[in-house]
Amino acid sequence: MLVRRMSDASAPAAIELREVSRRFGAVHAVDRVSLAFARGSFTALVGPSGCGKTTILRLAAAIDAPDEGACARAADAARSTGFIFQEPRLLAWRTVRENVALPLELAGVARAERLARADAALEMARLADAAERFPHQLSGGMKMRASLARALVTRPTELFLDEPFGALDEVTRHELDMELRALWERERFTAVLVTHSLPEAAFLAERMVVFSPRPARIVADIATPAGARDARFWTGEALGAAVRAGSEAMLRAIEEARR
Amino acid sequence: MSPPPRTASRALTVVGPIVAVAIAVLAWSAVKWAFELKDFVLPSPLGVARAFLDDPAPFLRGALQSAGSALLGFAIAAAGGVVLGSAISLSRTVERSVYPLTLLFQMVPLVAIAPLLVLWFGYGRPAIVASAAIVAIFPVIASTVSGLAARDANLDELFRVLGAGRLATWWKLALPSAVPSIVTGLKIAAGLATIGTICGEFLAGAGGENAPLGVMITTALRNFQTERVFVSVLLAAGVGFAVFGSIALASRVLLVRWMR
Repeated sequence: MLVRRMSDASAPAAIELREVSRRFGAVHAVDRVSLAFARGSFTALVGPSGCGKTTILRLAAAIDAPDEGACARAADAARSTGFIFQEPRLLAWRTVRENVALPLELAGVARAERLARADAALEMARLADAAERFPHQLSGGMKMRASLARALVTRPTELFLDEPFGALDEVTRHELDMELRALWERERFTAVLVTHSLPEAAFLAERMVVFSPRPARIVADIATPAGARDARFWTGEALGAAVRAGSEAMLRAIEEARR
Repeated sequence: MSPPPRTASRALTVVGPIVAVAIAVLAWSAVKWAFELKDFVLPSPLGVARAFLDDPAPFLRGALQSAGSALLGFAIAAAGGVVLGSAISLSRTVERSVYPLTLLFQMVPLVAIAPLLVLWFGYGRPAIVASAAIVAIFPVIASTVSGLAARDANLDELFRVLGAGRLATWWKLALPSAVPSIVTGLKIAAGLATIGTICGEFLAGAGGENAPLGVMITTALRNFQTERVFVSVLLAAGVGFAVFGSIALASRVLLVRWMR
């Protein structure tokens, strides 16, 4: 069976949410969720719109704090995080290179070094040609590449992605998905991705965690097919099986919630 | 054959104002001739031109004096306005207590406080510059406050996630976001600084060799040298254009990064 309750954490957990709950006023966004992310793993959080998966991502990234429960992290001096939002969130008055260098600038890295590292990150995101351009001169896909480069410039050990490519056209999205997966295979940061798209989750992640409608509860925890991710993966059998398992779990949860 | 419309409209932007000025000068002459007005009530355009050309040096020195005061007053208003506006938006306490008071700059008529400026600074440039700065500062404060408040909440969150402190967020996000708004305030201030300068000169200007335009106007009025009043007023308008123009030009250079 593809569906199992929790992933067996063979690698040590980099981040562990224990029984976390989060409310916004009267809205119960997350209800006692426990979830661990192994170091160097790639996990996708999927679920119906507004179910609270972004809240869980923000709790895991420690940019939000739970009302109840705890978020534990492995003690690691070299730990650093990158966060990619739904929108590129670039500063309009800065060139792409200066935008990418921003996290280093705020961390007090000297100018020459941070620009050199920004160039390296732009190389990784395949945007080196556009380093001198301003955000308004970029296409939607290039803006997301810039945002990706900015998140990678600190060489993060953890990368959080909140529906990063949702606003892009299908072709650009596939292209960026493939590059993101290749980057992860090379850099092996701990990646947590929120997405609406089950195929995207199955393609990018090793593990898909499926949530119920609000308040978010885990209804399925699925290992996605192992092996190479290339253009053929999108049309292959393996992807179909993972998507089907995710869809079934989600539909069951939605029916349960209606009852 | 008619020229292409683009050339025609470009020609109109040059020829139009010239024609308008010519018509105004003609109308001016016509009014003087029709009502048989004396020179000290309404001088002829030719008389005004002659008053200037006979001895242009004092007028030009006066214009330079006034332009210098206006630019100095503008600079003080610009720096002080951005600093005050930033302090107001950085601290809720300052916003509640100081911001309403800055409205005083806008509300109290300059003529009412000008005598005080003379009392504090004496006759001469300091009082004039102070009067220019007081008139010009409010739009800078207001545009700074509203520009700083209007920044994108998403970018605010980005800076929070990146661990930026309050000061870094202000310097690298809030202030650059506010630049287009501040520049609009600065352009308004540039025009007001010239008005404040001439008013200040009326009340606090010193006469003599280097009398500024405001003083030349009052002196000429007292002596019924209406031609000289006209020359000074026209030059004051020229100073206003020059100050505004230089600020507008500088802001275009400054705004290159903000253009879309």
